[in-house]
Amino acid sequence: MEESTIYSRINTPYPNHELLFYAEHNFYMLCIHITLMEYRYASTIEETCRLLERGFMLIAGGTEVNLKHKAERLVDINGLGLDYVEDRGDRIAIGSTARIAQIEASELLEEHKALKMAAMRFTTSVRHLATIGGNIAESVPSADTAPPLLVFDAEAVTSSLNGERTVPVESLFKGLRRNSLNKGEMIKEFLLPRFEGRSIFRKVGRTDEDLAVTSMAISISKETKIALGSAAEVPMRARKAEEALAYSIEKACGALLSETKPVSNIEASKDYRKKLEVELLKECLREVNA
Amino acid sequence: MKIEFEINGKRANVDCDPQKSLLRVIREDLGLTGTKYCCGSGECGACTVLFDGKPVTSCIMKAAQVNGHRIETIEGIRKKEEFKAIEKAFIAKGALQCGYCTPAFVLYAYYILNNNSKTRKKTRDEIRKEVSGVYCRCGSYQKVIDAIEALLRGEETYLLPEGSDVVGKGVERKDYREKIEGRAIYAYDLKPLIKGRDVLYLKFLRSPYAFARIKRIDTSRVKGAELILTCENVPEIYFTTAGQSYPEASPYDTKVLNNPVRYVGEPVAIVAANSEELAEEALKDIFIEYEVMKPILDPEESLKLNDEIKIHPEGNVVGEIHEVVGDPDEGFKEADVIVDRIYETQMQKHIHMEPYASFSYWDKNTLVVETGSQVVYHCRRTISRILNLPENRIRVLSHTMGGGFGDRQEMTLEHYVSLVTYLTGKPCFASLTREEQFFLSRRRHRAKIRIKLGAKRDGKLTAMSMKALSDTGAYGSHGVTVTTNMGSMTLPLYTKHCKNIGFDATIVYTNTPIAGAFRGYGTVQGGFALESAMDELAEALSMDPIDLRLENVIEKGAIDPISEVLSEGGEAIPRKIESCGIEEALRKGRELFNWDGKKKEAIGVACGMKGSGVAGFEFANATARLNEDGTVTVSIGAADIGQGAESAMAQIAAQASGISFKDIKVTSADTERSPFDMGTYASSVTYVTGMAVKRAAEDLRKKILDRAERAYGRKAELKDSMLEGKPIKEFAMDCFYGNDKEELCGKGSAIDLTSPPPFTAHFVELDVNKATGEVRIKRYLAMSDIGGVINPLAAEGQIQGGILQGIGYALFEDMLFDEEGRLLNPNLTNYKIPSALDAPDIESHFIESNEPSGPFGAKSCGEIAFVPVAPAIANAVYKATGIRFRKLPITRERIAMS
Repeated sequence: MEESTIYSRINTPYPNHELLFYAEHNFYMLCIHITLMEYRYASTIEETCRLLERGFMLIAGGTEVNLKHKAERLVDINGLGLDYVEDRGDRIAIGSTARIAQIEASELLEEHKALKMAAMRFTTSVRHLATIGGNIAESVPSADTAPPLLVFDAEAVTSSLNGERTVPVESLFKGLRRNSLNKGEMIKEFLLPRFEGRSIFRKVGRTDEDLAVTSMAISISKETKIALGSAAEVPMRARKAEEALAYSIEKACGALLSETKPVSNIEASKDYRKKLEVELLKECLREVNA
Repeated sequence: MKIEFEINGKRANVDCDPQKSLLRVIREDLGLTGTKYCCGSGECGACTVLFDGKPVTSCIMKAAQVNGHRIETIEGIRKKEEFKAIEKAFIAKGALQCGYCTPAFVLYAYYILNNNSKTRKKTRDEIRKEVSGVYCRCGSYQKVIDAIEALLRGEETYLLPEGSDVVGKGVERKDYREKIEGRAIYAYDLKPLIKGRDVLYLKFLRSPYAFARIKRIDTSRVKGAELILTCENVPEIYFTTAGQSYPEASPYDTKVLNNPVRYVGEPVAIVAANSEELAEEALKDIFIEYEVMKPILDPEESLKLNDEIKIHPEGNVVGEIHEVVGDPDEGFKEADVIVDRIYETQMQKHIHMEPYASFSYWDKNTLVVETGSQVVYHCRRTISRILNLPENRIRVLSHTMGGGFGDRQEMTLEHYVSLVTYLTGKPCFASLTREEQFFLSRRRHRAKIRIKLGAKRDGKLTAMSMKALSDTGAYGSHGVTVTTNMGSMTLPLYTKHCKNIGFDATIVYTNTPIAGAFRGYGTVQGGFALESAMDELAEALSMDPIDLRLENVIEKGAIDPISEVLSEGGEAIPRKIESCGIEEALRKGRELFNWDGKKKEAIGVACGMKGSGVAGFEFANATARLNEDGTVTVSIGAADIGQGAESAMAQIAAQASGISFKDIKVTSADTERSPFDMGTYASSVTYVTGMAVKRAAEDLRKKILDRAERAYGRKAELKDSMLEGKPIKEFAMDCFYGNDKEELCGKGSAIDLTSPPPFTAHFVELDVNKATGEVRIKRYLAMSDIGGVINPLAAEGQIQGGILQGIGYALFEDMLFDEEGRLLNPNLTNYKIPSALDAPDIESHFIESNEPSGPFGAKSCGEIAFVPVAPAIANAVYKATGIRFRKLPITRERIAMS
């Protein structure tokens, strides 16, 4: 056996850290590793923001927080009454803790078909838990509700101790799992302008029940808007493709490829994602115009 | 922190760690074990509870989230009025197998029923979508949807027969109610149930390296551990974890803990402590100095570098097979057309929904191991050897199992817990997380198979040769036997004319997780190669693939030529085919499927065969005892892994004895209480154990009738538990309390002489999106010859389940590694298995051939359905795209990028 040793290296006395790498995947055991010190229930937005200032992290459905974050202090915002879908005249307001299943069932969102389609394709096992606020605030590329919100020019109303501000949803995505909210700021609700036209959402995963390898939403009213998931570090509007569409679909495909930056990882290769982007664009345009 | 919530209508006050998951609080603090752990990442839905009336995954919720809310689990739902109808529908439709996911499906059914629009009934696809939050590896989706559809329609579900004339009829399986009600206790459920006893819990320190020699182990800083096992203090005994007959056909190449370690994730040290948390903490303080060696991850490299890098001292080759029938060279010379191709198959994980758990303790000088094993007797034999403890002081028993599929034909945790109990005298419990399950349990052998087929212009095969390179991973469990089946259980299918066959195989070690038994046991890999090549040959001959198969399939009365030279270890026993429905399966399927009318569509066909048990090895025993009240207890040593073995045995016993099905109970898989049985594997239970049960029941019937004749002075009749028109109870009482006392007990034994093959032909029609690579199964038809069908409802479940696992295998399941040999997808987020959304509705028909050696003509059913799935799909993908995929899985990405 000695001869068979091609190379050897003596390791640090702490080689077991890799164990933790694997443990991260598994919450059932993971709860042993992380130390959650405090769990609070907020009843007002103000109280929530105060806790956020002190370094608390928000929890609503918990599907991301509990799996991906090692939070020490959590503030539960389910008592804030933000789980609504409301008619506000020229807008539809969706509270940030509205569950995906609520969006799927809401009659107010009939016009915004792409959003309902996205909710429909959301992982079924967690659709009564996961919230639209969490889906957006987490700033992950595969967030299913993001492309529809982008093509409907949705805005987010955020709250902090300094008051409220309204920002385009697009501006919230700063980087992978990094949003542009300030410390002490939270998303209160999303505002969707009334929409008259056609829209579509389409996603392709490794299976029909998977996260998006590539997803796309298109809305067509006076203008055509295109947004993608899993095509860059964060969900994105494809503005170049939108512009090029005025000339031809072929040009739009070319433009789309120039602006997306998909990654290769265990789910799919960059090249496959690029191919899907083009194919989904063609297919969605065909379907939405049919 | 203190949490207060309503659970099943009652207040619950729990003081728990704020980070504790809701699932753990429900199971461990509240002791409600109907809610199951499976993946821990919110993927599979086994942990579903109703949260303010809505189904959610409790494993990824913190208990704190439900403070002030309302939670309902199966323990509450089963008391509701609506539950009765749900239970009835699930029973009538046979909507479950192992039952581990069933409480979750019941909660979804309850939710759907209560949120059902009165004006518009949900469509089948809407129901499918609703329940797609729960995974079922047994593949019960179709039947769950059937049940919910029936519920929504208000369909009157029929009563299932329960008399003695039950063979060939759907019955209410003995385990249905306790599983639907969430009462069934699986080995994994023991943890909350043994709370309060002085139990040691095990945790495993796993190797971060694929191949490394352990230079130094320092456990001096560990606090709070009762016992630490390392390669330095485990018994110096080599064994195999494979549960096979003796002497095992697998090498004795492993100890309890090994040095060097041979794959990433192999246990290096085991800590036993008073809680899992303490054990986990202790792991961090064990320091191991490794000398890292270059790992071999690729089987071809393993063969090539056999002289340089030896994974085991004897080298990298576990075994070789070289068998020849006739003269293949001559046969190929006679051929007009030759197809010579290489096919590759990947690793696949079983993903039985219940992860492994074992519990051991001393009871009256007996070491008891409570586990979930397909092979309790093999476990006992090997534990006896490791501990040097006589077999009569070891008792291995199986609880209800959440699926096995071959993964439990192994010692996985049994030897660890029993060693700890042996050394410390204390009870010991070990359970695996889903992620640990990827490293400590087995996988399917990866194979590269070169196949060469020669045929005359008219399609008659003149020669076949198969050369397989099979990857057994770090240890040789099942390596040789699985690989034997790649040829011996596939090639005989096409031997009507072909008498020139060559089969060569090499089985090698690699530094990857250990391979083992998995539904299909080699036939899946060999079948993919053979059935794909048959289609390629058909194309080369410009023949219809069904015609080519019909021209060559084996017939009743023929001798399987390969059986004359090759067996799974031991002497080869010529096998005469006494029942054969493959031709009928192809012809009828062709008609039902409208094959000839769909020539332009993306259609595919493939056939398959398997065995029924292992010829010359399988041995089963059964007893049937008449109780005082006239009921009968049947004992078998095989285990019910969810397929419904106990009920099939009860059906056979009822039919053979005349005692009603409802009056028969079957106990199984307990080395202290059951007669000897090789175990539940190789699709053997219905055929071999079933024959033993039939004989035992006939023996009991004879004893009853003899005694009755003596008493009544004439020949008596026994049917539906009625003896001479009167309930048998009076007669039974008289056996025990009358003047002429005797306990009536029937005994039966059976050995497997020929392992008669079941046959099958599958037909599939696909809708392939060439641009995105998405494959939708438009239609799936399975024609199965499993001999006489004992329980059509359960058999259909087996067929659907096998096909579903085959679909995952064909299209996306794969274990992915980095260049250091680290598994990249040890979780259900990235190791995808088919969900309800990926599951087509399967049309299943049985060709009832009558196997004379089987009980009521039965052959086997458990594995056969898996075999033709991947090649049928690959053949259809070829028709859709013009691309021949010779490597699995045929992922969306590969289709789109080809």
